[in-house]
Amino acid sequence: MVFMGRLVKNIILVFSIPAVLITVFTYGFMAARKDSSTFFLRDLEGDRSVLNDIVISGYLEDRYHGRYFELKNGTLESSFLYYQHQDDIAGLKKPQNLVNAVIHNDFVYYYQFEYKISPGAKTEEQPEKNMPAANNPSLRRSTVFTDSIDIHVKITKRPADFTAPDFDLASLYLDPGLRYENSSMDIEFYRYLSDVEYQSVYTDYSLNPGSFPAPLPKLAMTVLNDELYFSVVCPEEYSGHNGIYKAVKFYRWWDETEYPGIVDTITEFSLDDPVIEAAGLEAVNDNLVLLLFENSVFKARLYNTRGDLMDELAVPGITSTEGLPEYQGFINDNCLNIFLKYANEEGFSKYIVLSIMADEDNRLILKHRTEKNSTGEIYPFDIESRGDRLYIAAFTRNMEEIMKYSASWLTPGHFMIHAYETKNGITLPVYAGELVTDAADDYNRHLYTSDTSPGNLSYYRVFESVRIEQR
Amino acid sequence: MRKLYYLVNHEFRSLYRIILVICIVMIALQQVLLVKSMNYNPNRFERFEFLFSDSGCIIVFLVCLFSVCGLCVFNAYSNYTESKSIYTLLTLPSPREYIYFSKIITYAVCFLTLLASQIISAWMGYGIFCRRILSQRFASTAVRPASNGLFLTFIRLDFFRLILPFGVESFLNSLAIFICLICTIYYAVICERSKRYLSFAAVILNLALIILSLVHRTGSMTVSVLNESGHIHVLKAALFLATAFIVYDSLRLIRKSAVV
Repeated sequence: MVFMGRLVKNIILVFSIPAVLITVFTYGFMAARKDSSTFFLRDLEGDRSVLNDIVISGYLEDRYHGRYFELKNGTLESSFLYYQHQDDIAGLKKPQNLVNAVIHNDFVYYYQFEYKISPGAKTEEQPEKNMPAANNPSLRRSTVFTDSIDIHVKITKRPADFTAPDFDLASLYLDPGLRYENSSMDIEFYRYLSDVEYQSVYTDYSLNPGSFPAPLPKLAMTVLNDELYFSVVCPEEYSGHNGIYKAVKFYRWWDETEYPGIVDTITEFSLDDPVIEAAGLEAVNDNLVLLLFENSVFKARLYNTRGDLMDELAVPGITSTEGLPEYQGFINDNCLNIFLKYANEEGFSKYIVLSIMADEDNRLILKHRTEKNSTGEIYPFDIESRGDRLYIAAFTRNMEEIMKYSASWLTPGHFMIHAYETKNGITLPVYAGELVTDAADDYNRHLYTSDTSPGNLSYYRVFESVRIEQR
Repeated sequence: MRKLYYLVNHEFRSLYRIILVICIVMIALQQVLLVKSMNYNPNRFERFEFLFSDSGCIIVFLVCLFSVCGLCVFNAYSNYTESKSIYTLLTLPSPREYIYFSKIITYAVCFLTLLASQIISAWMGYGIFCRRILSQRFASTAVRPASNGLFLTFIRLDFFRLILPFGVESFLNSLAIFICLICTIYYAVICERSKRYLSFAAVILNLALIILSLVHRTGSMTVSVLNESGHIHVLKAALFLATAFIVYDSLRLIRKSAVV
């Protein structure tokens, strides 16, 4: 009774001390567990000492926390990061792998194409009676079929800070003379008539991309000496002209010009004879490298900024007969490292990595070439060429694993590190390793289910800002 | 200080039984909800943090939190209706500030007890969750409880990031919210008792600051003016300043016996 009396007399301590202890203990637990995640490099092939020339760094993060890692001298070091606001998230600091944009000097340049019915092309219009579009009774739609379209480029420049007001939107337009002609009138445009009491006020055409019988074009953009250069990536189905262009002046949206902006043509070429398919444009050593297929043979052409062709390198064995490959380029010093992916409908993919060096005499030299066939998916983070070695850090997904999850993009992947060595013109693998983590646990909720709704993707740990650099 | 300690114990003696009941009910309800949620087949591989938030455990906590807030208000008003009234307290041979601080400390311990119970509930829930995962048929082939799962829950669930912040900035912000909430509840009662209705503007301002801080902390990815990193410092400073003002004003009113 005396003890109970004492307890009641000091009741505040009876409650507060355990409450504080529980909180402190939990903080202790969190401090102890913050570095307990699975994070190590597993050697799969070769000796990791071949990685001593480079440093691989990056983040494994979701929106709440991250782990910065650095692989240096064969030793993997990592540290825990607790994100307290948006600015802490590495993946948002400098977006990479933008689909249709480049970021430079606090500005984003993004492109879109405008498709116009070619002047003089055959057209056939089918009005959609009593079908108001977009639930707007004053907007009516009809379908216009044609067999020939012209493709115009529009590039928009805006501040890279997406939270800032976009008053600074500025654009430029270019009609490079690129055309797509089809043998039949399969290309569908929607013609919108906005009218009041069916008296036409304006009409607008928009392409139905689903009706387009060829791959839609893309724009290759690169920045050299603070200036934006671009070229249209298009397969052999396109005709007319293409080239390398320099964006000289962007016009703000309030400048009432039909085709605003000033574009310099650096070089221009016909796509028809020989058949040329542009695949990419990169800036290397103050020059521009245009990657293309000429009569289905892969070539790299080195141009200076005046448009003079300085060298050309043909790489045999890489063709565009099965369509243009997906392309990604990585530059280190004077080397252009190219990742090409050919995918077929059976799910097999062929991956080719090339490393092309532009030397001091402005000659293009093929340093490395390696290729791999796979049923899985490979997405390179970075590719680096150092001396006679080629290093690749890539994210991969195995087909067997993809089958277990609800969708391939909801399947956890593997962070793979590959090193190759080229001797006597032959590139051979010398190392393969995997950065093993427990991030796959985040995707368990998609195991053995058909539900593909992921919720917010920023709840899943992903690798960001992965870099390979020289030591 | 002995007098303050005595007063604190005196205040808490009238509350601890109800606090204990609230905490036990909260823990029990949360475990029931978690088990219910785990039994739902689509959740069989769900992460613990999503199970916790989607099962309604956070709502249970909020109900308990508001109950404790109500209890604090009830306790403050009980001095005007029961024995050991405010008149008795004001005539005690001890500084009048002690009356104020004894209330604030008592309410702080009430909220701290609730937070500790929430942490215990999370530990218990995670223990049940792990046993559940391991007992599943799929466990033998692929699925184990997420590595470091409880830690990740504390780090990744906005709710736990509020009550168990793991960074200095977040900790200070949570502390500011905690202190501000307690002081504001009591300040509202003091203002009403002393018929200073204009001072309710400060109560509203403080509540607005608390809500803004919560929005900032839980919705930092949304595109809004609140996601600027500098705003959290401004909010934190505003919370501490506003709290300092209401503490000062509360003490002033108590010293003047305006609360009688």
